[in-house]
Amino acid sequence: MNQISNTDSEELVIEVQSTGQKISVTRTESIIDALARMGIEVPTSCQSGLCGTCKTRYISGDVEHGDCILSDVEHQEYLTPCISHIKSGTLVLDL
Amino acid sequence: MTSKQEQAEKKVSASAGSATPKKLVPYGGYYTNKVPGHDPELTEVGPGTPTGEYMRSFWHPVCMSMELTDTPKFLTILSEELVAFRDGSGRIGVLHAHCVHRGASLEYGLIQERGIKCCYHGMHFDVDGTCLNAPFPKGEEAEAKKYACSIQQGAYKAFERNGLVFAYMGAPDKEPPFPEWESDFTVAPGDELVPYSNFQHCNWLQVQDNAADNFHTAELHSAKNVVGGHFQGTTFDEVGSPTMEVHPDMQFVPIHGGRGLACSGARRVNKDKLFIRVQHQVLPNLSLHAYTSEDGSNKKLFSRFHIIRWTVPVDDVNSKMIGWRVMGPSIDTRGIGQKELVGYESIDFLDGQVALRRAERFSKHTINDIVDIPTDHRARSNYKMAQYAPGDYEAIISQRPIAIHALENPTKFDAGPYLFRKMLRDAIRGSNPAASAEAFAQWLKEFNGAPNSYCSGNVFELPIGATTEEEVAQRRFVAKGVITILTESEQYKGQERTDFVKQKMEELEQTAKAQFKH
Repeated sequence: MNQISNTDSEELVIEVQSTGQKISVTRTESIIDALARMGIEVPTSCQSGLCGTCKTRYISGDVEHGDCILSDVEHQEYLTPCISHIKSGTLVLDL
Repeated sequence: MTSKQEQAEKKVSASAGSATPKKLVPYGGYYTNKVPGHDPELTEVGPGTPTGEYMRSFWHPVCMSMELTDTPKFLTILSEELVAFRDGSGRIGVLHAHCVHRGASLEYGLIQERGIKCCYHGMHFDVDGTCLNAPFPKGEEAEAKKYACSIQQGAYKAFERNGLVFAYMGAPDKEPPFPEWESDFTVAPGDELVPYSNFQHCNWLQVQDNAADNFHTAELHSAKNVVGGHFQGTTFDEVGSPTMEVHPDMQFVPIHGGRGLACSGARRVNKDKLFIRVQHQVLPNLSLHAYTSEDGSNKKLFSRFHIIRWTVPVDDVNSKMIGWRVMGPSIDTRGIGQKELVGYESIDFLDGQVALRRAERFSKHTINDIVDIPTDHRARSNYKMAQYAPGDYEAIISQRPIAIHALENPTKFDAGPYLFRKMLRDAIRGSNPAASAEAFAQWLKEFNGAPNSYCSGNVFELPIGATTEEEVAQRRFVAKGVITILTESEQYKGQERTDFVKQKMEELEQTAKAQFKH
């Protein structure tokens, strides 16, 4: 259910807005796991985009959403980092 | 979805990493004792509701043929009060229950050679609702005719098919084709469609959820969960299908433009065989189930429908599973189906799918009888026995009259029902135009009303992987591969498609044998 495109080898970066921290991620690593490597723990429950526990606001970024609960409108502002991925460039999270 | 409170707590947790959310406090039931409302968008079905209107764009079974007797059958469907009857000329009438004259229920009406006559003042209606006669006194026939022409009883187009009565309750100018899946519901020569109706005292969606919940079989229907050995035929172990008690590894794939969901489950039978069962959920309320009694003992490719089931809303807090069990030697390779247990308030594959357990259902009645349905599950005389060995009925209806999604804590294994709910929401909101009522009807027309289904039961001769990792990779490869083959086969119909699918599945088996370490 989560098709991950594998187009190029462009660097993918997660940025935490409040602190300016940045970390490089792979196309398959979950955003949750990448944040954990930065020492940031976002609570999760289902770990598969069903429950919304990890629902997080983002400022900007090209997101491959993998959840079953957010509408297209919500997807423009929120993501579920447990199952979503970065398609390209930098994802700035409202954390 | 996440509340503001949780959002705020998350921010704290994300920065501090230590604060415990109130919902996780031990002995903290106080913090979670408020019950929010149900999701009206997906659950409510009355006239004018989003799901109710969507549902009205499809044909649904409304009752069994055996429920039509010499008196009209009172029904509630989609929160509308109806009467169903077979008139003297054999035509089926499904009319609004309340006479359009002054409201008496037509369930007390007299079935006529043509249509039905209201008991109160004798207004006579045809099956299409036309008033054929208003019994005015002699000499006032002209006025009677004029009056009759001014009224129309609410009516719905209906027909009988293999023991079920189907009705279309939407706008007449938007009537879709009746979907003849695979043109013959995959019934092989010598096999037959056997009708059944199982009442559920709860909202329709949680019944439909259960059909896409392929994980519950390994717990609810497993021998290990029966208390103190009080077995009552509710587990697959008791009917010799222990493979169904194995947790499946599921792949859920939206298909047919988001009009359906393929649920492909891999279960290890033994060290030599892998069972891939693909269930097909169709918006809004149909499910197509592969062989429910598979023991995996023999290789089997592209076995087809064993259950064709609609979850039909009665009102917002009641529903019926109505459909057909496919019976006969071609589908039922183990020969264990019991036709005498399939019908009104009964099904053969497991006990516990209806309020009445078999001991009560058949104590004074046969399968040919309409029996009274207990309405309070806790007031049943065998309540304790149902606690010892609960079945689908107990699990589904006890989720509350309308399950409250906002209180659920899903695991990844709930992806089936959650995906199906999302597909339904996208269909009724129009965010997936392909699944809109109009586009769905158009799609059926493109297939002459006979689309292909993904439903299939498949036992592959594939040895267990050398390591757990190899086995997991192998079973997922095969479960996904089966879906890919079925998608590729969409271009073919009938035998040509069957030949294509079987050939490709043989190739898939060979590929998996070569690709994974055993």
